[in-house]
Amino acid sequence: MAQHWAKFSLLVMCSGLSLVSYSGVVEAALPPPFRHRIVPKPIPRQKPPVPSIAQGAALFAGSCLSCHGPRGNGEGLWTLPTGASAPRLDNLSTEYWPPNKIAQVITKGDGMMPAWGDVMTPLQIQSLTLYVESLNQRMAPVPKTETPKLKPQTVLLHMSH
Amino acid sequence: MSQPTSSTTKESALTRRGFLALSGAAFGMAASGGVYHLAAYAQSLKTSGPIAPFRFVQLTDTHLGYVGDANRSVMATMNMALGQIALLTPQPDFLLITGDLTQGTVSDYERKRRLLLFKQVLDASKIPYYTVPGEHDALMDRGVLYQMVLGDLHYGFLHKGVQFLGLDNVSRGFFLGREQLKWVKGQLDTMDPATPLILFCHAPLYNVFAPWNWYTFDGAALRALVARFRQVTVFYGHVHQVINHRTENIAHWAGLPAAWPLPEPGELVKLRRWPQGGTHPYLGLGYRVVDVSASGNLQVTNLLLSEVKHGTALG
Ligand code: HEC
Repeated sequence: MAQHWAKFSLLVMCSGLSLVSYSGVVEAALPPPFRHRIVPKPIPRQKPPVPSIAQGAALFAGSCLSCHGPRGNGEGLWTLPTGASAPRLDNLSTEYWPPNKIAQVITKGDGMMPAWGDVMTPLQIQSLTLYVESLNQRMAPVPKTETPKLKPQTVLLHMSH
Repeated sequence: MSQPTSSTTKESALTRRGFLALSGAAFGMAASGGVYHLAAYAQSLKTSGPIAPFRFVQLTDTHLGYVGDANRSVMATMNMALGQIALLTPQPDFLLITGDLTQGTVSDYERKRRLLLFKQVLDASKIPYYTVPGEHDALMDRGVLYQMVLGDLHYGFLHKGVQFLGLDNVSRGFFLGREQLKWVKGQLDTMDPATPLILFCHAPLYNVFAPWNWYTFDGAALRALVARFRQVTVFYGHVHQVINHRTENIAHWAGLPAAWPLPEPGELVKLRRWPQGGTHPYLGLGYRVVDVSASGNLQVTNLLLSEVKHGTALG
């Protein structure tokens, strides 16, 4: 009996996961008794742009790893004109580098650190800030997104009564 | 047989007048200032006038002030190049020098000394020249000393019917930035798209290899601004090797370096220069001769320093 339930919850978990992306299709594919229980909100066509670590990571790979290294540890692939290296970004203390200060140095630059505010949008800089914070094992506040994501646990909870 | 219609006669007369006025203005500036890259922009500029064939030379990445194994005498190499260029026939009207004129240094005093030395050597060569900054000249102080010694970080000039724009994609990072793009747009807005356009800058205006900073972050925005022009060519340096590439309507040409060659891009490894060889000291070093035809087409020839046996400037 327990095994049966385990299999079943696994199935629903998977459906729950794919639900995020294929809401319409999944609803029809669920076994009849549960269909009415999971009614996801329609996903809006265009999400308002929010900063994200993913966007920050992509920008970092394109524009920062040359100097700060692919892992942000200061092992860049390109030497600064003076022969020096750009600093590591993975040991920024929370005390000296609160998010607003990270955002500011990215925007305004500092010495040979480029002034990215000349060319990037505030949103891109926010994403980069989140990414740089994530290199430091700090808890970056996750920005609220419009669509509530249905977590597998939620589905299990529904099922168990 | 082929009598020009009255309308074309009128048009060419206008064009010619505009051209004469402009060359007059350009001459006046060159004569009075002695600084060659003053923007010869008249505000009335619409068409560039007829093209008179001419030649120019691209020299790049001279890295004056560098001391090390990659080139044991950057000054001698630069003089060797200038010596060869002086013997070219026909003579080039001018040199385009696309950045990293000097080797980067933390010291403001030393940077200024190197920039002044560069200017002194070029002035002595008696060939007019136009420069743009490289990151070695300008990244440390955002181009403050470069501007003091060599003039504007970006500017335009018209030469014999061809429009040149010198751009700065290094002094605040590898991008042009919103302000400069706005300036470029202002320059191009009033310009006839039939005008041959030659852009020169240090870093490539498309993504050659971003992990080595061989790109311009907002290069696409610049390329969009010149999209309506029929003949657009970019001459750049930075990559220390010849690379030819086309994007849409633009031909991109990276020039042979004067200081040292660099490896081809592609590997995700640290970019390094290698020691100058004892047997082939001028491996991969040179400059480029560009001949502009009356139709505005370019004939580009790369000349390796080691190929020319003049026995000139270098002792
Ligand atoms: C041209 C090389 C270069 C590039 C490209 C570059 N940086 Fe920097 N960065 C530096 C240098 C040099 C410093 C140190 C500035 C100083 O203190 O003088 C620095 C400092 C920083 C700092 C502050 C950390 C500290 O200890 O000073 C942050 C944060 C940072 N960079 C983030 C970024 C991000 C994000 C990008 C990509 C959008 C980026 N950098 C791209 C060279 C670079």
